[in-house]
Amino acid sequence: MSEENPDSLQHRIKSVMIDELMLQETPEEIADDEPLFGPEGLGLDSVDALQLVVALEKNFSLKIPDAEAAKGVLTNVNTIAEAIERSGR
Amino acid sequence: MPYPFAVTSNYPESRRVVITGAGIITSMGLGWRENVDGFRAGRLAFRPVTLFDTSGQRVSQAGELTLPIGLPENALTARQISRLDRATRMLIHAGTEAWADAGWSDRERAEPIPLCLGTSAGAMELGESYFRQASQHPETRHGQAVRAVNYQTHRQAIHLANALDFTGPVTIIANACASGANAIGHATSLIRRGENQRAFAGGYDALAKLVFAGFDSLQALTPHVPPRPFDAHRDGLALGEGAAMLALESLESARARGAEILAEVVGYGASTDSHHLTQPHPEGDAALRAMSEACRGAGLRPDQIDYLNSHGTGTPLNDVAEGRAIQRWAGTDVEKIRVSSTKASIGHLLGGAGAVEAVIALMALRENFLPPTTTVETPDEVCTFDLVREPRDAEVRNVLTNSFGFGGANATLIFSEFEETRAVTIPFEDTKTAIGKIRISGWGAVTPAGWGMASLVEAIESPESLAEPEIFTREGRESRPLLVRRVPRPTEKLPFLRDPRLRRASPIARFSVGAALEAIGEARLEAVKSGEIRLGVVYAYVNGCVNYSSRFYGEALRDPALASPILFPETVYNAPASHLSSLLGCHAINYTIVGDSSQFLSAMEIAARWLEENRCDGVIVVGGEEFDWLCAEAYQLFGSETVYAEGAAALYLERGGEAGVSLDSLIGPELYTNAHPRGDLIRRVAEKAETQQGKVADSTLFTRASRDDADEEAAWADFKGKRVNLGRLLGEGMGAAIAWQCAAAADLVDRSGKPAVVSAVGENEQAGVVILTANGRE
Repeated sequence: MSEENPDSLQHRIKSVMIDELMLQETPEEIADDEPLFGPEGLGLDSVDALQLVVALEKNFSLKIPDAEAAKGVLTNVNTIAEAIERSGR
Repeated sequence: MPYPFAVTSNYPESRRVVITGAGIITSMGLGWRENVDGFRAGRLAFRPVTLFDTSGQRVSQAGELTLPIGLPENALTARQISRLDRATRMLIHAGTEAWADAGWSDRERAEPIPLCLGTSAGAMELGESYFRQASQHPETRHGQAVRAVNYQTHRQAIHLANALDFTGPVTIIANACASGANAIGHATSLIRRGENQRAFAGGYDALAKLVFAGFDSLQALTPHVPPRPFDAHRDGLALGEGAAMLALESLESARARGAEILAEVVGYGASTDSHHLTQPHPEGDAALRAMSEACRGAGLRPDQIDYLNSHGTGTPLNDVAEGRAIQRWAGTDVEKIRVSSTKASIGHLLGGAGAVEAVIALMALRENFLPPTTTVETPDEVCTFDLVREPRDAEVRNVLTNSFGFGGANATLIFSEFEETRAVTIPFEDTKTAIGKIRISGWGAVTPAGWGMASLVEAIESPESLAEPEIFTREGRESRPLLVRRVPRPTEKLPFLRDPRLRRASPIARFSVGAALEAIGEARLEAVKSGEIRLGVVYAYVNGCVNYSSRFYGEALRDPALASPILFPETVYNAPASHLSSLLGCHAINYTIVGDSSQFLSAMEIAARWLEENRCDGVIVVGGEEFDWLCAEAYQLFGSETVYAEGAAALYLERGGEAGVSLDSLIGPELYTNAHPRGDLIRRVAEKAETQQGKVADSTLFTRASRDDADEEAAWADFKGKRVNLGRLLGEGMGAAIAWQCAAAADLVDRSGKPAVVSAVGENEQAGVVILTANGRE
């Protein structure tokens, strides 16, 4: 894994995820396009998804209104970053 | 599952268990009659929550009940009554009705009557007010000691026993939503085994802010109350509250006193769903096992069940999994099975649900009607059974009620109309194995000395090797420093700590998995996973997952919308047992019991019972506790020198076999009462141990007291052998304390070949003794 800029939005999202979801990984071990859910990726589940919605609101003021919207946003770190940027923060 | 079964017809009357009294309180009403009328009419009983602020939540309605201002006549003092919490008041209402219904009098009171209760939140109201004061006004201690004492789950049982003026051993099963059904099943087993003539059993839970916020954070609550179980568009459950109690006795006893028999308890099945902490197996595998086991015990085929009271929460996943289980269980008869969910009328009562729905099923049986689920508009396609949507009159002879809990604890009860002769199968070998035939063939411990027995043994042999207690000060508070002994980080990599099930788990769950894996050992673990050993799990503790509970409640108070959904499932009493069951491969029965720390003896007794009943081949018994400032400060209220310790220990119990240590005697735990004050009781159980044919003479005594305990010292004053006091060595381990003693004692017996005695003095109201001997070396 290459060194990441710790100030990058992607890196900050990963730090929040590790903290809030009690992940064992380091930010460097999570790829920006790694799927969050399912056995091919980080292996998160529906409880993690709920936590992530709360965590993104708390840390990035990103409001995800419903489950449909969550499906699109919570695909990987990049899609979360795009949603945060779109929300103008 | 093969039906029908071979049946045995001459079941002795002393072993048949009948119901002679029932009591209930729900949002539908107070007492049997109001509830019958409401359920018969299919009435809905929800309203806006008034007990706490729901303004920050997605949902504001629940099955909140109207609690009468006064209590029925009882034996409590005015001062005791003034301190009762809401949940206990409900329990006393239901208990008084059931007791009076049974017509039990002073004659029945003269004998110990076991009290078996199920709850999920206990006196959460007191825990919450304790937390609010401790976090917002830490300098004010007024009232905190009373709250801390009465929050203990055991206290609610004691209040009920005192209100009705009886005594007996207390077992509180906290298996989430299956708790109440497990409590009734457990009480039935006590009578069926011929140990008791009577038992008093049921369940209760009151609405509480923490639990409400928790379910809301998981988005498990429907924003459109009333809930719609089995509707294609169901979108969650509604919470409710209440209590129900049953007076159970042997047929022999009921006949002897000419009591009216309301029904017979004919089936009890329990299983563990280790699919996920909060989600059932999609095909309802464990649900099917519980229903089949209950039917097998009852000697009934599915088509003979006239009414099935489903768990039917109204969440998308539960109802389809339960529906699949019903389809698989009933096979080609599924169209005939009449099913409803009464949660549509009163909500989900969590730890109280199993007992309340057992009483509702009993109502259907006694009053010949089917309580409907009136809120369904479009039945889900899983409903190939006869979903009862309108009130119906029907002849009802056999009823089945399902309770499937959070964490995968599943239970099914079957009641039948009383018949003089009943052909039943006996689900277990009907031979009473003496406790002495139970072997402890593995043990493990996680303590402040480290992960594994070796570090505990080293600390016992060289106390100076143990680090001094750390001084803990709560962040940002000028509270008095606390003395604490935490479990150190593991010195080597423990692969199980990386298991996905444990990622979010609370510290107590990790400790108990560490201890249990050591106790079970690799070879037996393989045998469990290959299906060769059917494993059961009993977990005992006093406080449970306090660490996450206090974090979650703190968040819910600040902003319920931002409370962590990831924490809430791990705050539930049986979450550690659920993780443990999943990791070890337990699909059979599992209980979490809470209360006094001497409950560890009850846990061993339950394990021995399961082995005798052939419900499993081996049982892991665990006791544990974790550090949290909230509990540590509460203990400081009762003595500033207390060192608060955390950890767990586990024993592996099996029947017979060559290896290991014999569980020679289990004495108690017995309950202190006004007639048997603490000192007398501890002396009495010690004397019982000392009369055990000199086994005690050449043994090592493991005492309990973590600080001066004149009662325990006096009781064992004449003991001449070697003594080990783990309370002084490690600190106050609460739920872990007696488990540590037993694991250390088993280890010593195994090494020395000499017996060991464990003095198990609880901090609340119970005391007992365990004697371990070397197997085959007596």
